[in-house]
Amino acid sequence: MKFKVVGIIPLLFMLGCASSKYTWSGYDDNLYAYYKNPANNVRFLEKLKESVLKADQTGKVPPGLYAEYGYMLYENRNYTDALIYFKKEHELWPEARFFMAKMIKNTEDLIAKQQIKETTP
Amino acid sequence: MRKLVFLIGIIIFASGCASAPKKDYTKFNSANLHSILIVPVVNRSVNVDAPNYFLSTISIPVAEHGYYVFPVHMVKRILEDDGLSDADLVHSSSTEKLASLFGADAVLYIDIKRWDAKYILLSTTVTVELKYTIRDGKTGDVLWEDVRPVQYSSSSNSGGGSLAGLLVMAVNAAIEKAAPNYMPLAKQANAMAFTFPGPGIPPGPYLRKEDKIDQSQKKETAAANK
Repeated sequence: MKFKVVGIIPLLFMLGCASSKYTWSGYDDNLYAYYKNPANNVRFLEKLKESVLKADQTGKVPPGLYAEYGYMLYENRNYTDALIYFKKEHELWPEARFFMAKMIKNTEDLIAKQQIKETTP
Repeated sequence: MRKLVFLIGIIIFASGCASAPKKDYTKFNSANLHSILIVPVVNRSVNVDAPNYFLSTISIPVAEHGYYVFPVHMVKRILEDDGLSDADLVHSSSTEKLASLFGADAVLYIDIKRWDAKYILLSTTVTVELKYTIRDGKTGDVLWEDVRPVQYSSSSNSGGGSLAGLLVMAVNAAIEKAAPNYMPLAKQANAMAFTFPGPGIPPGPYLRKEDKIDQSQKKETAAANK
């Protein structure tokens, strides 16, 4: 009983300020679905792309979203596109710069390696 | 009627404030946090899926609270690549080291204490209990902590005591037991834990200056600072 009463009060309180600061478009549910079925990482990648596009439209891009999308691209070895989104995260959030600078360097190295592989017979 | 609703509102509000013991935010405020690193979740429940499932719920409430939140899935993967695939290992390693790896001001640790469904007398009770701890990335000191137990019971008094009603209750309880829905509870626990004023943390920089600077302006200043 104690649980229930304690639960209702903040919920009532929260109803008044439920508006979102950022456009998440299901980021939490999509990540949950991915953890439920980790084999389907392509679906998560696509869902992240949708979220990124919607957030770009509203201009209310959530912290970490560009990087999260970039990292899924990175894991799928799409380093060129990954780099774009690490740079976007870097540009938008000063707090992310240290971490993103490392990822950008890392990704650029991988792209350079790929190019060497392609040009050498 | 309006007056009554208003009165009830005040009573609920007042009782809500009275039940929560005041926390000391001196350390928290002087740390002046801008970014929070959320690391993989430690599991003390028997449900093996709980840590990942929970992780999906936690970014939004913290970010909406005005802090920069590092991408949780990416962080989890990077830590795994660094040999920290076990959340217990992450939680027992130094906060300063974790924070410096990502350039974070603070680290948020979550322990799942309970994540279970119990069937008792025609009703299933689903419980989620979480412990949240924020530690300073520079000193490792605890800046804030909170424990949130939330519970949901399948018996919604829809029965009214009749045989048919009891049957409905039994069926509801069985459904809930077979596939308990923890996610709304986890989200509710997060919402409660971060409510401020209340048990939560004071709003972060992006909530404080919300109306003064929008993101496009921020972009411009970021570009200018390059």
